[in-house]
Amino acid sequence: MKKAVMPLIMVVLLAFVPYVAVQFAGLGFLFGVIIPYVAIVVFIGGFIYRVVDWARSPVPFRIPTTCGQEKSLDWIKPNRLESPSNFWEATGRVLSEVLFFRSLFRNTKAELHNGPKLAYGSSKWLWLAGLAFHWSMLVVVLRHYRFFIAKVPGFVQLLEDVDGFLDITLPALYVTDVILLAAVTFLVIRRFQDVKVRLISLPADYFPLFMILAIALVGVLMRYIVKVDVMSVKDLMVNLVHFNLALPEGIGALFYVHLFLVCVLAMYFPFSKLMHMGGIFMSPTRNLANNSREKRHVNPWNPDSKFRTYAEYEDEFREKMKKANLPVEKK
Amino acid sequence: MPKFAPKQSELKKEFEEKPSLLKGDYPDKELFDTPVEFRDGNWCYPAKPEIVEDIGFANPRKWSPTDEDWKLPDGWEKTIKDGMKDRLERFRSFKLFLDICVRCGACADKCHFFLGTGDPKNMPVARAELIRSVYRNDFPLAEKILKGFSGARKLTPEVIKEWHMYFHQCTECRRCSVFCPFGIDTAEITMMGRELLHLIGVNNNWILEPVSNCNRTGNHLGIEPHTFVQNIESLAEDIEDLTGVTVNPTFNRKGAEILFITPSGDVFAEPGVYTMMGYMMLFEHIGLDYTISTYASEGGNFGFFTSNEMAKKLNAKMYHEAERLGVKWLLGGECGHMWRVVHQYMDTMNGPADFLEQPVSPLTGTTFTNAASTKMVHIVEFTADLIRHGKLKLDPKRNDHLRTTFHDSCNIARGMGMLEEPRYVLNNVCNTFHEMPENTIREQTFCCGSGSGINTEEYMDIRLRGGFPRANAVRHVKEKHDVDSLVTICAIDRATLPALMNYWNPGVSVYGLHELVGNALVMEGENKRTEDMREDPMAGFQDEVEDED
Amino acid sequence: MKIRERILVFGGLALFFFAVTYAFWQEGEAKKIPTPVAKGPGENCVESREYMRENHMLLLNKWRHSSVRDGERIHVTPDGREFEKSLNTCFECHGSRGFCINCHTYAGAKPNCYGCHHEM
Repeated sequence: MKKAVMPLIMVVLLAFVPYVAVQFAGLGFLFGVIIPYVAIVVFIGGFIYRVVDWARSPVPFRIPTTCGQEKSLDWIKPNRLESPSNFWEATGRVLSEVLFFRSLFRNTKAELHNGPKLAYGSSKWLWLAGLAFHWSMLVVVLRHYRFFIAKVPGFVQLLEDVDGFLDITLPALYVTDVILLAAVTFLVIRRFQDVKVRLISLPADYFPLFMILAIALVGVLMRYIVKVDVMSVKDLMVNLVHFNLALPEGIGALFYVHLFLVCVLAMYFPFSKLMHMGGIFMSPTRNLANNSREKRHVNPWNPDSKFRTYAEYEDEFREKMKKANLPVEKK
Repeated sequence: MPKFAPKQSELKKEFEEKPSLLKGDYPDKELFDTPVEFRDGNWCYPAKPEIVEDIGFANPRKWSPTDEDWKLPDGWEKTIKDGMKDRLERFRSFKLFLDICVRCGACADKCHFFLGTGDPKNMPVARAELIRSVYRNDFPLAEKILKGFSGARKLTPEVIKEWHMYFHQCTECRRCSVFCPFGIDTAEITMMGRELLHLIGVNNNWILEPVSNCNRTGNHLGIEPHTFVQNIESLAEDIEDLTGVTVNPTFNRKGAEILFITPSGDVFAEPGVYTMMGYMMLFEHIGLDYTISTYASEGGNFGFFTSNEMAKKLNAKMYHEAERLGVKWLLGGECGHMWRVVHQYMDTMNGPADFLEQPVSPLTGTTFTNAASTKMVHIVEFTADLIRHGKLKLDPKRNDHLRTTFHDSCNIARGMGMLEEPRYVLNNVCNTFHEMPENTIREQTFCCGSGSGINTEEYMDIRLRGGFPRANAVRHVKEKHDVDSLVTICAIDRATLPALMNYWNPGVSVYGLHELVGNALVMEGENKRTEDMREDPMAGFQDEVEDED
Repeated sequence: MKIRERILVFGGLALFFFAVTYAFWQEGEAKKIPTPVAKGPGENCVESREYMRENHMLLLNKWRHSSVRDGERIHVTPDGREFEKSLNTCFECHGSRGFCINCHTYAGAKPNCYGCHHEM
């Protein structure tokens, strides 16, 4: 629990900063214009830097983790997804990880019973919550394009309609809002409840969870309960993406809390574990084909190694080899 | 009972009564607040100074993990940090895996050492955190303000002790990597950890002595050429005694079609020797034009457990010898880590092997397209192809005295993906094959607990714990299907599983797959077979003999 | 880096960059639509301008509920003015559906009044 307190305090403080600054110090321009620009530059720049930095380290060996039958003899059916034998199958494998969390789907739970006896049960809650969280997050982010683009694009409108299909509450309740909050809550509770995960969790693990929770809660609050003037908010956002530095009047302070937390999260992103978003595509145990014996993989720094040659070996053992009737090179 | 083994009653009691993370008890100390404790059975003897010197590794000296002072060289902190930086630049896997873990905990209960010891630091994620915590310390300012935020810590001798302990409680089996949503492979972390430790002379004699031996004599056991030949010839005599068929292995013969390389354990140690006999009988039966080298007389590669450079150096002999002898291609025996190296590293390290030809089975005409570049074929692929084409005369009833199950070795399953071939062969040479539970086989297979160079006697306590999940799965089929024979295709398995079975499942014996092939093989001109290779009576055949009498 | 890897890494990053900056590439400027002005008999609306801007949907929803379910068709403001709970009351000052639609389109929020009601 102790490890969760620090990030919780951090998030609460971060939420108060813009509230006070805008409400009482009139720093709307700083929080509405300057910080968002800084955030997007840091986010994009940092993200690209990290990915390029990874890419600069070579992959010396082809080391896929094979989770299925290799392609070998004609009459043995290979597992094309779990033991891909070419680039396209490996691409399929990566996509199955990115889109469906394939490996997490395998998850099991080990239990130690008296005997002693180990038993393994299926355990898909983490997979379900993880998948629900990430997909909802994606939809929520895409939905927000309606605030940035003057003429709302068709796909955003479609997402809105589908997401709000239940048509309860006013404005219509987004299903993804509910799923997102539920999933993040599950992920937080899981970190407390599963002692293994609790032990390995760092404040750096709670921080982004609390941030996302806070951002989502403030967002939900603005949409359903404490209204802000959407027209002005949209004006601000459209202004920002067109580098028009005008700050519209009369946007509620709650909005600045939402925006500032998003900016902080975006700036924190490239320097944190959240980079798994880019990293998952680059994992050498998943994105390489299991065809190491078929096609040679080149290691750019393959070291010169001086090994003990046969000649050196024979020099040491020649007499013994002769006695054992072994053929030798030098008589 | 081996000297360093825990008393079984005490270990059982510990499993059942001691609170553990696995059973949902939160420890009273945080991860890095628990000190490491070296006691009998949980540490390997450090390498002898002359061996460290011989292979050119750092800091040869007399020391012991139980010492307070490990006599680390001056400036060791810098050596480690520079070594880490160098490896971050050379291995994307290392860099990426340190960066992207989200500590979701999916790997936590997948490690056999965690399941067997309950030690929190044996959770794969925690094992990686041992290095990650030092890696993160690159931002000391941030860490000062937000103390403990990202779990960074200073590099101290205590950290090195921790690394030594826990990078030898990982067998690089990759089971965690199967479950990780990002494919983070603790084997990569452990390899780097061990490389770093070697930079400052923190090592393990059980790994370095074989490395030194292999370099000089060609094999881990340090067997010189004449003895190597003698031993195989005595196995040939055993075959003749048993079956009446003469097998004539050749050594270092130029112009042979195939160079056969297998772990030296198969040549010298029980029960591996029976597998060796199986290979020789098979080759005789099909009239294979092959030779065995005394120079490249080791399939395994303990260098792989020290550093990439050493792995390359030891592995280089295979191609070097193949070129000298002018063979067409290579055939490799049953081994785990050998095949990790051959399948995923050899061609990259020591290829391209342009002087060899794409492997074609001389009997079936099958072209092994999957080995087109490396030009080395696994014996089980080779045999499966022979059986498929009806080239072998087999009588599976000859293995009716055994009730079998199959242990996938980690490297074969998760570093190569050869899952069906051994099952196909096994089903063709015996009638009694029963699978262990599905979460313990194929890509989810459990390690024997002693891989990656820790199969030494003084490490028995840890080995028996680490092997517990495997033993537990065997016990399941033992109770359910009366299984008494554990079949493997790995030399380390054959060396270590007998001790594990004796401890947890007495009555279960360990076999190599080709030992069973040898039992079932109906050879031309053979005597009536009534005993298997271990001179155990075959079921059903003994009676016939008596009737005839 | 091998060529193919280079293409994949930089192609992927370009895709990422485009997705994140998608809005920056879109046409259109902020609020080029005129703020609708009310013309009509009354001086003041049901509630203040600021309140209506942010909360009109809640008020309309409340009206719908109380008039349809409970049959209470008259809204009394705190200062004693009375209004019939009806879209027609709105239109008396605010003209027509056009008054709503400009802003709603801009904000990408679909009003669900006109599923049942028709424009006057």
